[in-house]
Amino acid sequence: MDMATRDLESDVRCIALTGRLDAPGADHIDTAFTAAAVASGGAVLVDLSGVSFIASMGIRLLIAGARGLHAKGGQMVLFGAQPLVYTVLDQAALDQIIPLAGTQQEALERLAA
Amino acid sequence: MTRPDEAAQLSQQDMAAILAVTRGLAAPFELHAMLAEVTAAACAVLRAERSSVWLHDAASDEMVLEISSDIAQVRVPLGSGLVGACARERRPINVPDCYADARFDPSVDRRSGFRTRCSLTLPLIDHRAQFIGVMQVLNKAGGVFDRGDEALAEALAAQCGVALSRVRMTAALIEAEKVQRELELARELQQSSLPATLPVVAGYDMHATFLPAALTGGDTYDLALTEQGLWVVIGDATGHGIAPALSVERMHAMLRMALALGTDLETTFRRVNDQLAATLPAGHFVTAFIGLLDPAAHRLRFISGGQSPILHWHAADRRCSLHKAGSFPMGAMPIVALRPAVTIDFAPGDVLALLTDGVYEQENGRAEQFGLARVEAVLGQHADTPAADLAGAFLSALRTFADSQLQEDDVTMVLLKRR
Repeated sequence: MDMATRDLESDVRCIALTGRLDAPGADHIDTAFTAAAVASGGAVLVDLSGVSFIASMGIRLLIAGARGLHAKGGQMVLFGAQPLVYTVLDQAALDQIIPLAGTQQEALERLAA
Repeated sequence: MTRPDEAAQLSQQDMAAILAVTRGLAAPFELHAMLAEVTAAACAVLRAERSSVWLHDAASDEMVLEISSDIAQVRVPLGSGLVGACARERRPINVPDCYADARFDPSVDRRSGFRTRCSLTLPLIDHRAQFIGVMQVLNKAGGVFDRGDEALAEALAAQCGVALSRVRMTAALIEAEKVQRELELARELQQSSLPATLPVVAGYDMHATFLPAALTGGDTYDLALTEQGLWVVIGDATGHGIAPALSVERMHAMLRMALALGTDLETTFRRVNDQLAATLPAGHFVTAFIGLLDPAAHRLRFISGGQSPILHWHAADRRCSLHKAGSFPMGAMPIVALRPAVTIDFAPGDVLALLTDGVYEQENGRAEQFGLARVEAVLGQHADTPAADLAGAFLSALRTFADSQLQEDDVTMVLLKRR
């Protein structure tokens, strides 16, 4: 499980995740992801296009990051989930906590909305 | 160990001092008490102004000063200073004039305000010949450390090495025991909230299975008959150690309270969710299904907070329909707008199958997961059998699939079947 952070224009941080977001994967990036997401305190996009698989601990990681960010007045939007990952997130009704967008552009539009 | 020729150099008085120290070292089982004993003994026996013990931290490959009256904790890389040199070379280093020795690091003096004149530094080796640290004595009263002091210090270091190793092993054992006790407590807590017996509902056959994982997990279930009907609950709290057990215990208590008060499904779900959101620590939540069956109308209404998929086996046309969660995991945040409950109508032979992640995410040796397709296949083959047999078929398929892979998460199943 890999994680790369880059700052987009206008104070938006993008965290790209790559690999299997299962229990070992989530454990591997747990602290780094939460720190990168929550520390920004602003808008965070999470690029899931490189995530091939997600399990319950992966969902937990995303929720924990989103909650922490929300508590600091920030907002998180997920985008680019592959069909298998999208189905799992949709089944768990995660979109009620963290918006799910198709592309980075759509994710930026969700932030502005 | 002390060599015979060196031991011969020890006086009767020195031998008595070493024996006294050995007796002293046999007692403490706590690291800092032991270190205090060792450093006090070194000062007394070698007539030194100060002594310190540096332990080797294998993880960072640093030497760590654990005890000294004037400095908190100091870490130095393995090769740095006289302590580092001794650690690297694993032999005693006797320096009569420290400030004239290139290996000496004066920064510790600068921090403590102490002036080091001469030093004797020895490796601490345990009975398995493992290097565990370094003992250092500074400033011999009225002179420098001589050959006799070296022999005495080596005898002392040999005793200290073994004693420190014993304390470290005891500490590791106690820690393992503590973790084990915490897990046992978590398990007791988890098990205590499960119903002792399942209610009897005319026209229905139900079965619940709970197989706790060895290390961690936070599953729960409940089947309770009230005036409103049969409540069907399954939940899975996230996290490691005792935390998930506490989360599900809390959810259980809130739920039972709501049921006792006779609240409806929507109010119950909303109240439990919002109370969990207010009381669970950050990052903790419970994926949970809460359903209410009207056994007379054969109608089940449910709300699922992140718990999915929910499987409904239709006996008439031998197919499975899947329902997804209508709400996010319980306790993740307060509910702003609750989506309507989902309704399932039970025809004769229909089965509601609620299984936690421990089933879907059980892996085999090739890192494949048991997954939905296998769950549906078991239902297809065994849905006609009694609920207890169907549960047995699930477990059997799961064990065959997992082969010798460890069960990493709780496996919980609630099966409800209309006769």
